[in-house]
Amino acid sequence: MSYELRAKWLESKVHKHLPGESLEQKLEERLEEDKFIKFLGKYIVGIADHIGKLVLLFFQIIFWTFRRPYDLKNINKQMNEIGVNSLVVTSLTSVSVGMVLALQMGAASKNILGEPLYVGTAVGFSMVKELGPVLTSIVIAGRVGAAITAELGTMRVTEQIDALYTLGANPVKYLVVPRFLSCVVMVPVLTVFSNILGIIGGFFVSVYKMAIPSTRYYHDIIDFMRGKDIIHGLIKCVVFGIIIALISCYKGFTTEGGAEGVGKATTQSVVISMVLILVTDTFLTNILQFIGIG
Amino acid sequence: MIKLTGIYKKFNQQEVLRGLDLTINAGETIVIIGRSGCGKSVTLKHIVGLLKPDQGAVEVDDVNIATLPPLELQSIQKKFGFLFQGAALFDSMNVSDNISFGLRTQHLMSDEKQIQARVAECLRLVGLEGIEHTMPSELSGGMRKRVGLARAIAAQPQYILYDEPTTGVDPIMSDAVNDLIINMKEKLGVTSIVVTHDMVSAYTVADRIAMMYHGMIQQIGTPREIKNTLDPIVKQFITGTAKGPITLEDRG
Repeated sequence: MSYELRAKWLESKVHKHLPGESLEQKLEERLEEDKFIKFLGKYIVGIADHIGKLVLLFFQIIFWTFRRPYDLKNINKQMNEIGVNSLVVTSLTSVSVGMVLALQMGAASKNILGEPLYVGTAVGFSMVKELGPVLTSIVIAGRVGAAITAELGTMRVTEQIDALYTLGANPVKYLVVPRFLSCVVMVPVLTVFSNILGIIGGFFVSVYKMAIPSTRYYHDIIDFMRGKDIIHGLIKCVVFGIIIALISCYKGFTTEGGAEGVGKATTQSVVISMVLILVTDTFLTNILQFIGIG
Repeated sequence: MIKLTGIYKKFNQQEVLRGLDLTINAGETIVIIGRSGCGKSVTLKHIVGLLKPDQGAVEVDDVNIATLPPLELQSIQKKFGFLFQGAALFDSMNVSDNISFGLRTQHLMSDEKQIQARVAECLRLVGLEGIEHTMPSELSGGMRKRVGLARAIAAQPQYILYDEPTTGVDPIMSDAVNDLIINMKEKLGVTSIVVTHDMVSAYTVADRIAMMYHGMIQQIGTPREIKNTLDPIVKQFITGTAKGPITLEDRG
């Protein structure tokens, strides 16, 4: 609607305006409101569009995952890249976190209770249920998620993904499925390593720095931890693996605008994955506790 | 036969194709010319099903691929070979794997010796023997293009789409590429759709030339008809003069 038409329409509609307030002022305010609503609407529609496309990609992945032939060579290559090549960085992170946890817990309980108590319990539970899955996933999102988006994004802007279609290969099956499966399998595997290494890190600090007997540290963990606590952490890892693969592949597939576009998509992929991992963790913890898993 | 009827395509707010109609007969070589950004590559991507039109039909052998579900579209796409503007070679694979990719995914050949023989033959056709194990990053722009061409013809498709096949290629190789396009038609009866700015190449390979302007076909005819055209827009383009109805700002 043009400005003049809009003014006429408003003139017929606006009955009440304060004394001293001109119709022009009212019109300006209304147009500002319109702009804001338009912006908000566009933003909401944009988000809904992305969510819809993500869900669609997820269903396509499920469809192509179970469709023969299975590209075992490619899956193996991705498992190696995502899993084996991430082991050093996730291990270093978890050992450090386990050590710091033991130090902090030891110091805190010493201050409050006069001696370092339940250090093993605190380290074990924190690592297995929260820090192991979340930190491992965040490290993977940064290392692997960024690499996936950059690689697929470059393939998109250099028309390599289009070339796959013309050569009779489906890009979702050929590029996304191996990365998705690798993330879903390797994030829990790496988390198990992280949990073990974090607990070992905590063990060294407890035993050699705080002089806690090794058997006590061991029993602090074993006596309280149940199988469902471990399952609690592993379920989270699978969900985080799905998030990392889905977001990084989606951002790669929808990259536009050359090298700059690849850079932007990569940054967005890492940021969105990390935020989603942390937000999902909150809800997932509540849900899992509600249904009695951990 | 390929038939495009009333194709409209918008990207964001920019209308690229505005009711494009084009029929490509089986076995002919049609060359599409037009200014950069006029929608030539977009037309090629519609033909092979990489883009779907906002409106209109794209018929390949009487099947409207604009409405086909993905799996059926994939089987139609196997009829095509596509040489992309930037070659679009897979960076992670060597030249041999790039060329044999279609043969393997479409299960056209299973014997490794047969596949390697076909790869060598395709490389010989584009004048690049012995580079099977070279990575794309080690190739020059022109060589990448020729490997892209070898990949496009490897599976002996029914239709080959060439997006600027002679751009970035030296004049001697450019002539060899023209000969290859003609041979593909004469020996194998391949239907070729060539997008180019190179008028020498267009006159050499084309059975018909179509000039695109403002998202539609401005004129279509034999090379002789296009050379002798009276249409001022087509005339300005083929003679390559800056003055005329097409202004520099006009993207066509």
